[in-house]
Amino acid sequence: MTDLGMLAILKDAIGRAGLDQVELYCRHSRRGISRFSRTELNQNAAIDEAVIHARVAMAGGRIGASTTSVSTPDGILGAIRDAAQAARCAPPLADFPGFAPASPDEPVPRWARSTAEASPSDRAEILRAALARVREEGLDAAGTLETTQNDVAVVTTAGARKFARATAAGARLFVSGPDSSGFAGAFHRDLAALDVGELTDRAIERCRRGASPVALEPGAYDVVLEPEAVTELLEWLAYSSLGAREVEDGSSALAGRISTRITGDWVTLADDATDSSELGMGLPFDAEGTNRARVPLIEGGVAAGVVYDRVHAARAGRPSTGHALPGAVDDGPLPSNLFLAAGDRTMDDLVGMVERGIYVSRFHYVNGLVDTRRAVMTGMTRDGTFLIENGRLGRGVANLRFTDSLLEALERVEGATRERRAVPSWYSDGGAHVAPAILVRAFRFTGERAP
Amino acid sequence: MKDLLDDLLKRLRAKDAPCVEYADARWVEDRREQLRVRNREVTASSRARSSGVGIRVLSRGAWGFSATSDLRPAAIEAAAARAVEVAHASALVPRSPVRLAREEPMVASYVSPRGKDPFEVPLDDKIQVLVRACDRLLDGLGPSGTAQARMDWALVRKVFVSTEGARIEQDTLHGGAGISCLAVGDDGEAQRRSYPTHQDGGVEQGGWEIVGALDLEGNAERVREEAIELCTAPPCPSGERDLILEGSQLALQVHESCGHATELDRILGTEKSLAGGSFLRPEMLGSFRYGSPIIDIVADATAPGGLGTFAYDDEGVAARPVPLVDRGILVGFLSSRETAAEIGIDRSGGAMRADGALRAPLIRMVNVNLKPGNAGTLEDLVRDTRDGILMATNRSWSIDDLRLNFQFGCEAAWEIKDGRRTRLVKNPIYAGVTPRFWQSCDAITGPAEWRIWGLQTCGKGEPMQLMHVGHGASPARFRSVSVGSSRP
Repeated sequence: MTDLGMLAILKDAIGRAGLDQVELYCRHSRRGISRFSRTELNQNAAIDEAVIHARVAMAGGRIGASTTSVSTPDGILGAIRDAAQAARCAPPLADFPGFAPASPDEPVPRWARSTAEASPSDRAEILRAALARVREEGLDAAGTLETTQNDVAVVTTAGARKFARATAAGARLFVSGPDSSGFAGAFHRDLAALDVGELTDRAIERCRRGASPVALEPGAYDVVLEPEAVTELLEWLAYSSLGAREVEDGSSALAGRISTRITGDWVTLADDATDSSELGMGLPFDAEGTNRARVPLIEGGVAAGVVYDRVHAARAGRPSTGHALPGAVDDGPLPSNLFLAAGDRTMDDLVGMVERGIYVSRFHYVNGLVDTRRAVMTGMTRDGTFLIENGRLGRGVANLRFTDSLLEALERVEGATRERRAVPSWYSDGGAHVAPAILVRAFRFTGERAP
Repeated sequence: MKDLLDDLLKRLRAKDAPCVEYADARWVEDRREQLRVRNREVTASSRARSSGVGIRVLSRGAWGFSATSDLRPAAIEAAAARAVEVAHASALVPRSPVRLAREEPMVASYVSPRGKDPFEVPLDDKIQVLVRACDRLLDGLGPSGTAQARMDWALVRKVFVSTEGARIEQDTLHGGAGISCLAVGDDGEAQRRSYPTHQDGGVEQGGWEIVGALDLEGNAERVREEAIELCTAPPCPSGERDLILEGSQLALQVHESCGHATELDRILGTEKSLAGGSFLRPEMLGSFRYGSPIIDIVADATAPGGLGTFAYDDEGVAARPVPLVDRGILVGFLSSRETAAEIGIDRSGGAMRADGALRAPLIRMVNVNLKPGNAGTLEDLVRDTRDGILMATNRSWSIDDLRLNFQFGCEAAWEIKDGRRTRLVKNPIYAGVTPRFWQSCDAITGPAEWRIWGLQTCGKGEPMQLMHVGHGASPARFRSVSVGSSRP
């Protein structure tokens, strides 16, 4: 479907519904995902998926919502009618400001032909070479190679008409041996920009380095965290604290602390779906059809703000920042394109600044709900945890559990790399969080994996 | 739809024979309703309908899967051709051929038991149940507190056909409701209490009668008062203590450290890329001591009321109880036709499930239940404990990539001294290592305390699939567990 085709169908459905206040969000995804494990391609899928979210507002701000996978004109009209039926029974939602009006388009580069046109055979050919390389090493590989094209449109009775086409290509490789594993991943809008061969070599090197890991006692260690580890922590901070809803109810670590120092002065964090660099991912507007703004969240260690959708913005007496999620209001707004400011170091510099510490490639199963007011999180290290001694990267370390306050940990950062990486975010249509590697002093490890 | 899919597979086989070794097709129609009330506002009143067809093809020794939400015959036909194309692309990468454990193809239909159809209950009545519960939570909560109530319903209709001759129709309905209350103290301390569980509320298979049985209004005052009291409660003490877990937290403990650990795809390494593997290995079957001799765990897709209850899985395998742990010894796995054949089990355990038509089936939990013990009631267990902690209602969860090292946080805990609950303590956490933890279990309460808890959002696979699963549990005691506070 073309942009005009999708917009025309949505506009037509709204016209046929004959209601005063309607919002339609439509996403059509063409997704190819090749999963491999045990150095074989064992799950391979091509999925063609449509989803339409309809919201209808009745007098006084009574709102109903519905979702359908039927993208025909009649299917969409049915969804509007379902939403209208729900709205008729709903009590008024205070401060509902109406649906989004028209706004100028602010396009960003988000589409690449190589990703959009990748076939199952294209992905298989890329993986055949990578898996052969791992097999030669006598190791085991698992992971995914995924290509997606998303067409997204939003139309409202208040005048919003938005369409964007975006692609995303992601590769994640885990290479494992008898007692170690290594990870490497990349995410870009252009499949041709992914160097799967380099990722394979990196994952193999990590796996080899980690063989015969030593066990460390839990305690406070200086750590170098790779971008994948940093973004996982930031994503949980976003989920628990960087949306207006959590500030409103008091559970956010930023509630009551805007404009006060909450972490180290080197920390500058923003949400930015408008970034047009090679790292930029995500759509330029949200599920309500509002252009996404660049939102400073932490500036020089000071809490600067959170993200808003239209209802939460109206309550706070300010404009929406364009961070509504598809569907109902209850989910609240959420950042999905975080950018943590880069530093001026190299990875070697960071490792060189550690006398005795731990290098963490990534975390596993982090949970950021332990104590959201302090942003306390827990999780395990995984796929490449190494000892750093006398400024040099050393042998593998058995995986450890950490439990620490992210904000307190960020107080103890002493350096960040110039290079940053984009890591896919969970709660978005192809968005990514971007972070450098960082050096944190005295990061708290609270447990080890028992044999 | 059944005939359309049947014809499709016949034509697929005729066209590509002998290339297509096996194929199945699933049509799934999913109807949902979601209601959310926050303080006195309805923040979500949403209905969802989705449908689609997913086609799985085994050709040239490799799998291909394709799916579409476009139900026009030409689109379904194209999806089937694409599934063959994907399988052939898979075969470009060298692999050992797929073998499937034998399964008798069934022609059957099933409708899950239910009382009153919740989709026939007026929307206004449903909203009023939630608004009234929120009113009770707000009464005395203070202006900075937040009251929330939720209700969810899901009706799933499926048709499954296979080239082996299976033709199965199923219709399941589940849903429920829950409340939670966030109190904020003068110093900004925020504490939440929920009923009956933290995330999904009380969800079961059944109809509107589930909501009445929950008695949300009747539990609101206790929930509110505990949230307020927690704001000024002392932190949970640290150290090694005897730990009693109430049912819903124990259900999540079973989920994370037994359910996921016994999934045979994790054990064989085919799910490693997202959520990791398992510390278990096929050769441990029949000899590995998972827990103390009072631990019996069964995967039971026939358990009444469970969110993991059905008649046939998404490979057409009939549901049946599959013991996983018997008197503390590992005796079974959650399995599929492919993984069962790989380790030499006669039959699949019937645990292949997909999150809708547009996702390929994976090994998922069904109802993974810890059988009740003989330790009486929860209060009997408290009376029998000299120095311990009782923890209730999950707040946070984390476990490593082999399902060994875990840490859970709960909403509330009570210190137990000499057989009595003495005081409420806040921010409790506990940690352990799976087999050591289960081997420390010395008492499980009896059938009167046992119920199946529902989880609607178990994540697995890429693209991510969310599955509804059940866990039967009754409160149990674990000796000398590391406990503490997230904010000492």
